[in-house]
Amino acid sequence: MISEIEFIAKLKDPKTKENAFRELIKQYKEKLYWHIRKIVISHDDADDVLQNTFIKIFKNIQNFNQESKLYSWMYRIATNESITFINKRAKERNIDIEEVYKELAGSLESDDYFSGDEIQLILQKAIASLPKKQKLVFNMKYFEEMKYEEMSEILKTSVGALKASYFHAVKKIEQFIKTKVD
Amino acid sequence: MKKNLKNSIEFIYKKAGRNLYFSFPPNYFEDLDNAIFSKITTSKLSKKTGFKTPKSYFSDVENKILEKISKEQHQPKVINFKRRIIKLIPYLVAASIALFITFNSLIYREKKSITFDSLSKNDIELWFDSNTLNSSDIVTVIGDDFLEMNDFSFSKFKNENLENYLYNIDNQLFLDEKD
Repeated sequence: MISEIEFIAKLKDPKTKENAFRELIKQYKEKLYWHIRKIVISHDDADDVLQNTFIKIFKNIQNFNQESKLYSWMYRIATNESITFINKRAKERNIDIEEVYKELAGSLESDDYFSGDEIQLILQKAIASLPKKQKLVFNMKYFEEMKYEEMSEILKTSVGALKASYFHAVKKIEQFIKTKVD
Repeated sequence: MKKNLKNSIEFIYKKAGRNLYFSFPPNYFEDLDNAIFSKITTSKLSKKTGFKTPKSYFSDVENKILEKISKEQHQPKVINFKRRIIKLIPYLVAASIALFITFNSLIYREKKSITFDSLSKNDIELWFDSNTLNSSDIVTVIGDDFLEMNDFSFSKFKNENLENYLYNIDNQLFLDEKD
């Protein structure tokens, strides 16, 4: 089993870069895809963002200074790419980000790549209604079951603030579901 | 018996002074309520998102990414015209401001330093050629007193005196003056 430091050295070495990068994609494509998909919602958009994320990783691996773990760095790039994508969409259409999410969640019912039941649909709509940070924290904690310490490294936010964000997110989701079910 | 005593919990307490040196993170009990509430609420929810991907998406995406990367690597860097112009805008603005300030200061300095002495003969001649002067222009500048001057009025001279003058004048004086 090759260590992370050795693997990064292979990614930086022009002779071994391509093979190492192929290995990197193999290891992280699914994890990063699902992380991105939960932020951008549609499959086509997630596909675009995933490809851009890996291209950015490939181009910037030389600048990776190993202050954080490789996967934290990649998650950070994926998160930023996803947020930039949504912001761009809002700017192009001259609407608020909240409005973009409302539309994306609204289109889930007719989405070929969404097979959730009614409760799952309501949950996705509830998540879409959350503020940006709470949305990220809820997805990472609840679905990806990440530890607060890991999330803190990716989102560059204190553990205390993340715990508070998660608690507020859960409260809002509970409230949203109550109004929809009652 | 002695061995039994050594392995007993009483013996450990006796040695450790009932302190087992356990600790917990700061604010643990403050956060505990929220953590329990979150667990109870989310336990009713599904852990599945309901999202799907097209068949064989994950096996195809790997090649798609690698293909895109190799294409980008072999493409020469092209900065499109619009981006180039946008990049140039700050420099153009800075250059025009610098030019404006330079020209303004030069013009201002020149305006300040223009005096009659600094005008060249050519400038004056050029000005005369391009401007027509009439008597009222002259009057505006030097006044109309000179119009009443009659120093050279011939009316005062009598014909006899004139004749006398011309008769007695030494021609050599004119010749000397001319030299």
